[in-house]
Amino acid sequence: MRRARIFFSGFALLLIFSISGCGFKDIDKRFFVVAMGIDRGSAPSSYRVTVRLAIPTGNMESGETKTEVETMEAPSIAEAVRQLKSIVDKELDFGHCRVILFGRTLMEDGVDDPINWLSRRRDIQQVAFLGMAEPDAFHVLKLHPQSERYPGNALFLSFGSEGTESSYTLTEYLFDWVRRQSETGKDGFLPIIRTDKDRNSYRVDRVAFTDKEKLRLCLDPEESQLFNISARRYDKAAIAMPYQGTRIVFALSQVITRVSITRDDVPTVTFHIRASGFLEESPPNFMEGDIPKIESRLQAEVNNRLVDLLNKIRGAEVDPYGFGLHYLATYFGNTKDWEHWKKVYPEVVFRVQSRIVIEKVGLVE
Amino acid sequence: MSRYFYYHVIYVGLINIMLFVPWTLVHYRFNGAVSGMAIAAVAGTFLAYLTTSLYLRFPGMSLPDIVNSYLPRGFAVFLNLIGASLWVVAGILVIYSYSSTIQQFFNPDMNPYLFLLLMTAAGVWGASRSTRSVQFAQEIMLLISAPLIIMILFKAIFSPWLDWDAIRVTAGYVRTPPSFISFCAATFVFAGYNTLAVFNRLLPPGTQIRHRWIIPLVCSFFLLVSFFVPIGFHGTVGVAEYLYIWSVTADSMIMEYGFVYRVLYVFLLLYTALSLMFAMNTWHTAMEFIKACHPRHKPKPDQFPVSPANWWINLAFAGLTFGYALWTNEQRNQWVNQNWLIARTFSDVLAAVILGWLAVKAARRKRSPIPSEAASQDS
Amino acid sequence: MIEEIRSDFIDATDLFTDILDNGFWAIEIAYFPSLCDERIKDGVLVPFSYRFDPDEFRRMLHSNPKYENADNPKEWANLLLKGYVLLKIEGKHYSFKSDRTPVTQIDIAQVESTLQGPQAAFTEDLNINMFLLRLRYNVPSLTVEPFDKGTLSRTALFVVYDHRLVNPNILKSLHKQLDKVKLDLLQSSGQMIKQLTEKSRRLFPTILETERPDRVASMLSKGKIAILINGSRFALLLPVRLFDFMHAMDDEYESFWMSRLLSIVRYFAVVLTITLPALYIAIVSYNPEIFRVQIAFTIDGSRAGVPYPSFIEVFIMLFMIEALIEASIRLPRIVGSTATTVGGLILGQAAQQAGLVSTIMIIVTSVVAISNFVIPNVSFSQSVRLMKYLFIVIAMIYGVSGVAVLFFALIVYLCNLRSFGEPYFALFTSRSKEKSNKEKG
Repeated sequence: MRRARIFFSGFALLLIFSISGCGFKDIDKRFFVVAMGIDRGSAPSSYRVTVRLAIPTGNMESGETKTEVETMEAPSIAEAVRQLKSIVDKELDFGHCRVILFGRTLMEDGVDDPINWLSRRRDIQQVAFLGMAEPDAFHVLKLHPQSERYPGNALFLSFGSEGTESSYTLTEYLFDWVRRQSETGKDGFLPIIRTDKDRNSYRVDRVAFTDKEKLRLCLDPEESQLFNISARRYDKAAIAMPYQGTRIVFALSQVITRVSITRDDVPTVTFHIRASGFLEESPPNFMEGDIPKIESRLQAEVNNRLVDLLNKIRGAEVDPYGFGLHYLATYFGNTKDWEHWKKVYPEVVFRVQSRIVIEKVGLVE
Repeated sequence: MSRYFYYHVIYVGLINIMLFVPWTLVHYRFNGAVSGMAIAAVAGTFLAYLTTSLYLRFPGMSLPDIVNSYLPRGFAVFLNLIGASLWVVAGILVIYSYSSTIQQFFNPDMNPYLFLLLMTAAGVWGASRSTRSVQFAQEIMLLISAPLIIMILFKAIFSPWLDWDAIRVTAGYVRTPPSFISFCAATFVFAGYNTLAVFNRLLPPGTQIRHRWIIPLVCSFFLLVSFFVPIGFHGTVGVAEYLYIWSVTADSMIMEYGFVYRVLYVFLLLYTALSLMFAMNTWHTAMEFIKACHPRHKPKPDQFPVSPANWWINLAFAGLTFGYALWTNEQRNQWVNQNWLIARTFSDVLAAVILGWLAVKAARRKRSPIPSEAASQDS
Repeated sequence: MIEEIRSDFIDATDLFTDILDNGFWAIEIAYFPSLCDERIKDGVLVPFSYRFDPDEFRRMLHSNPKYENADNPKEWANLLLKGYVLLKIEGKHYSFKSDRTPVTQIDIAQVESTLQGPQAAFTEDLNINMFLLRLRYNVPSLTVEPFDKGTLSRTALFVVYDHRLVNPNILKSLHKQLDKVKLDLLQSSGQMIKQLTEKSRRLFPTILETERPDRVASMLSKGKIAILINGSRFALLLPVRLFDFMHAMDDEYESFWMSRLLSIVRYFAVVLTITLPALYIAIVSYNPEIFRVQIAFTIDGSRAGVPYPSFIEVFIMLFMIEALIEASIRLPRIVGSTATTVGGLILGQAAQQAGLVSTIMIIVTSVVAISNFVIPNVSFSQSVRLMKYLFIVIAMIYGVSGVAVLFFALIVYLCNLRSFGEPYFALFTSRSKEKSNKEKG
């Protein structure tokens, strides 16, 4: 009995050890992809996949990290990745791939295939940052900033909100973009990333809008910031305007927005925005009595700029704010309402009602 | 002692994700899921109140004990076998779908049967314990995992990326006529009271289950969250593209300052605990149903060491799990899931009806001079 | 009498037998000088020799509680071995209790030391232990049941409990277990634990060993049963729960919040010491994407020079640390510090510089070792030490998910254990005693 038991457990142990090894791959036999870029290839309907691989070193000091950039062209992304595997010496691991960039030319053609591939791969995180690279992803990924503490860290930090918090930089995650690709009444946006050759760093200060298929519109930095404030309620931004010969800068501390849409034949979209904050730069002989005046000037400024922006976006026939979805949500609409909205969207009237509250005047009077 | 009852309510409310309840509901989101959920909330609450009250009229008796002592033997065995098969299938479905989830997200290169082996081994180990041990283990596992799971749920609800417009649009479809399957799926969330079928043995006589309003409150919350949060994260259209809806939803959140960056991994590890708990409970219940078919069965809720019969029955369940894994694929698994949800709803109503009938019978018998009380006290 | 005894102890040359004759009476005397102490002189020799008075001597035989009749020749050998002096006076047999107690000084706690609590510990003498216990828990309801166990050693033991508080079912099952004890030599409390546990191959102790009288006293006041064994520094306590093993006596003496914090730290340390090596393997070899990017790169960088898979690395380091722990227990105290220094140096620096193990692994090993010593009870800490190997094996096969599943199985195992019918690992079971009384009684 006892011997049988020992024999049996020994056998079981042997069995277990022989099965072990599936999926067992040590960390030093893996190559971590920290960022990935997808461009149009040189041949028609082919892709050029660029991956940035981390080469970890024992001690990590600023600027000492090593990365390797590999690129490969193939008719499909899956094939490109397969072929990439053949030119590196370790297993590619996408588990830490936190940045995915699409080249501009690819965006102009449409990104259905890449999206399909990305959502099929289980190891790609849904919270990877997405961006559009200008002129193409390969050149952006090739850049190696001085400040990088570990591989890819500069890229992660410029997108996310852990590091720099710039009002020009929009953050877009993979899951959000994928949902916007299919959602009724809501379209996608992507931050545009460019290289800044002379200063050896990335520059993320513009935003691109897509409809369900391809790129439609790119905003300039000022407009991008306004979009960030109004659509994403980003409150670490500032609004600047000329005032009595000088320039005043209104730094936001809280932004509240609300959208109301009428149910007319041609709906009117009223965009309420309430922003409170303080003046970072104000006229030298600034008097307290001026506050209401400045507030109303700021309000007028915001109203004008935002209406312009909204009209521009509508003109490009995209809806990154999700007005369509909001319209449906407000009136619990169904397919018929959606058809109606699609028809009248190019004509909807935008109105902006802003409310600016200046809380403090900075530290000095 | 009634706190053990609420543990069951809570983990059954949470485990719905693994039984494709959100998937089923999302599938019918424009065709009667929301209205089905509303009706299910009422019906589920009513059934929960009714069934628990009925169980409390049979203090210290499990459903098999009750059936055995009031019904003719053949019929009782028949009912017990039906109960056992429903419970077994529940455990099998959760173990199968969880091990395939884990295989997808944790160890994509691993042989799926290898992970199934681990899960079934843990399930067999847990379920073959005595009822009292199962209850203790459950309390500890739930107290470890539930706070974190609820934290994740709240993190999802308060996430700035949650699109309330999409939720509102979907909620607008409450006006469509309810679909039957989504009603069945939604009632499952309320089904925690069913575990009294065996665990009623451990409730000391005279226990009252107070604060029963917790059931509609908590379960409706779980139901709403598990349906609406994925829609809020993946949009009214995009949400239907995913099979493992909640895993993808959990992956849409990050913990910027956490040790683990992606919520997905925390979520999956916590659901390991929940799935195993569910498998442990369902298989244990099924095992007790089967053991009660034996003519000279005596319930022993606090047996140590456990009898070898526990092992053999549970090993048979494990075998069934492997058989199921061999037979099934994604379509078949969903088909079985949905039919199981429907069957479960019927069996719940059936159980309540039988219990009600037997309660009336017992009350009559008590009034008559024959001392039948002794028989029920023994078991 | 002497011939009979001599025939029992043929080769026992250390047995002293003689016929004493003071002119009036001749008495036969037999005893083991090594087992008996100086009380013979005052109890037997002085009254018998120069202070001799037959009447007084007879009176003393009847009134001194140390003298007892020993007319049954079958018991003689036994009595002699227990340290009694056998006498034959006027044709009658008497035994005189004069057993030597080697240790008379109260020791200070060594295994379970505390900062500010009582420092006294049990000794190897049963009577002193009983005194220490009575010092702390002296109530009329304290019940002491004497037993003799061990067919050869016939070691005395006391089962001590407060009969107002004790659960009679547990007492019953303890008696049943005590009847089943089959031992030749009972020399330590650990042997008794093995005998009393129903299944001797348990992974976790279900009987608590302690050298602290204050712990025994506080447990007695909770209705538990203590077993004191002659010749053992440790008392046994039962039934116990897992929380009792994780409870240091300091917890009762420190301030409320501090003791809560410390016990949380302790449980955290247990989880850490069990799972950390396994998690290391799982993270390195299966799921490096779980933790933050930085951690993955740090591990990757530090593992760059390590030539073999992660689990071998873990086994090397754990072997070294286990060997070090074993060595420092066995080595004499003076050499012990040398061993730890050398070991620490080798583990800390050289192994890493030689590229045998990664830096992270050294941290893991030391965390595991330190966390293990946080556990207040030695036998529990050993169980925990063993558990981590199970986790390592499962992590080698399944990665992180395997660790999670095994953790579940471990909790089920603990919940499944019973210490004399009482649940071993269950929360909030203050009322369980009444309940089990009702159920069984």
